[in-house]
Amino acid sequence: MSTYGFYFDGTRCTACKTCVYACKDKNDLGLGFAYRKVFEYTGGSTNRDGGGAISTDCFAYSVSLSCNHCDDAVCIEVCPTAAMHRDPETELVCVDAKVCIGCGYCALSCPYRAPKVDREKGHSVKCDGCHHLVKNDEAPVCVLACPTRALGFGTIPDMQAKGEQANIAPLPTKEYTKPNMFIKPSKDALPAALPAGTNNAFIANPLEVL
Amino acid sequence: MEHAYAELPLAAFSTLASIGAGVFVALALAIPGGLFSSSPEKLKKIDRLTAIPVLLVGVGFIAAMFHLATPLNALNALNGVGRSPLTNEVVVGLAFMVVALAYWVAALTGRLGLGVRKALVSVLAVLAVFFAGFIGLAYAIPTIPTWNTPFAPASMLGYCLLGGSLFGLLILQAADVLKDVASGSFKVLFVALGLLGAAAAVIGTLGLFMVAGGIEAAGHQVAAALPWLVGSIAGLVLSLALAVISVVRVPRLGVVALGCLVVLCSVFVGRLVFYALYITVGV
Repeated sequence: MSTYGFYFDGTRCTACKTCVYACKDKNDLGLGFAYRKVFEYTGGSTNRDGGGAISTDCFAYSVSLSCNHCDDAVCIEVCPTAAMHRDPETELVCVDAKVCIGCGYCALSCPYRAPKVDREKGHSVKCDGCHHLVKNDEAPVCVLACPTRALGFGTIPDMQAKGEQANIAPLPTKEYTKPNMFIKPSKDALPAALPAGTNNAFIANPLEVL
Repeated sequence: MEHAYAELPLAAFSTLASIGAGVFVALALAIPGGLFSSSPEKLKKIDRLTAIPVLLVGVGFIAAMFHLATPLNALNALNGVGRSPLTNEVVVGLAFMVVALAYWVAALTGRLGLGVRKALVSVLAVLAVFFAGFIGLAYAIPTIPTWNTPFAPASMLGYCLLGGSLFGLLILQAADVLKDVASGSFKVLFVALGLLGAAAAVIGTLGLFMVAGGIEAAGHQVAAALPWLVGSIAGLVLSLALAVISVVRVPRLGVVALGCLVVLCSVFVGRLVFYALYITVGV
């Protein structure tokens, strides 16, 4: 069980990606690495009926996503070296770079694509919830940077009071890993585990996030 | 097939290690026929040729190292015993490798009595089956529906038994003992081993395809993997035919060697298909 979690307000996010770049800046991440990503999810269609009236159900919303420091963290379960572990103080999921062998099982298993092997560094890298900031009662840098206050961070009961456990598309259903990310969904948000092709929904920025 | 190319070292490892390990299952089947009661010259040849399975598994492990970002830390992979399916695979694999090396070195130096030889090859045969099964179980990850099925260990067991039977035949034929050990019961057992291996490999491959095919979002991945999958199955069936012909009819080294090449290629392609069909429940 984790002590802390993230909050995401889908009614405020404008997909400006300040969170992404604040994180990249703080962690000095180069091309190909981002610990936080903003998924732009869109779809729908515009149709003309027999009488000539045009209607649309087009939609677009964004989800800012990093490691969710899940209660059932599959990355910790499968890690052969125990490099993927919970920080003893904050219980945020972190990588022990000295132990990690960079086998990539965490990256394969995480349904949120949070960890990634950095072959140059020789180990897995991911969001550690800025646990050193959290230990000093500060918020993670992505939360501090968000200009619309769409991101939040705090204890699980506080985050639970603001939103529901992440269960919207394009994310997987919450049962798999019990993510500690709580969402106030935008009006357009579709449920997780949507059958493929529902409402022509797709991730519009795959090159950026996948 | 993009994901398959990213996992080439693992495809090489799972191919070479499972086939190499399976050789000991084939050798164990030849024990009752008098495998180790051959002339000293033939016994020496068998021991020298045992380098083949030892090398196959060894090269497999080396290939797996290329998959790691920090191979020097590889022993840390033992930290997750009992918890991580990958650690379990590594532990069983290392146990197999240690026993196989010990057996091979002791056999080469002529320090093995008949009883110990039989016992060690039988133990290695059992360890080989576990090793292959654990390679498949390493992919039992709940967030990857295409891998988290019994088809993954089934295909690995199949590759182990079918590939092992062909390379086992290669050793027996090259050491000129196949005609000595190929009694009626050996033939029946050997053909049964090959059939069982081919059936498990084909069922495992088709099962993977069936599970992946049921995931709508993976349509393009499945379509791209299909020709490779068909090629792999065709190769498995052809290699089984070559194994059966070599055991039932007059064996020829060239035919057996061709069978080994075909089985190596078809298992490798099968493994590429497996990695290509990495499909997650997530984004």
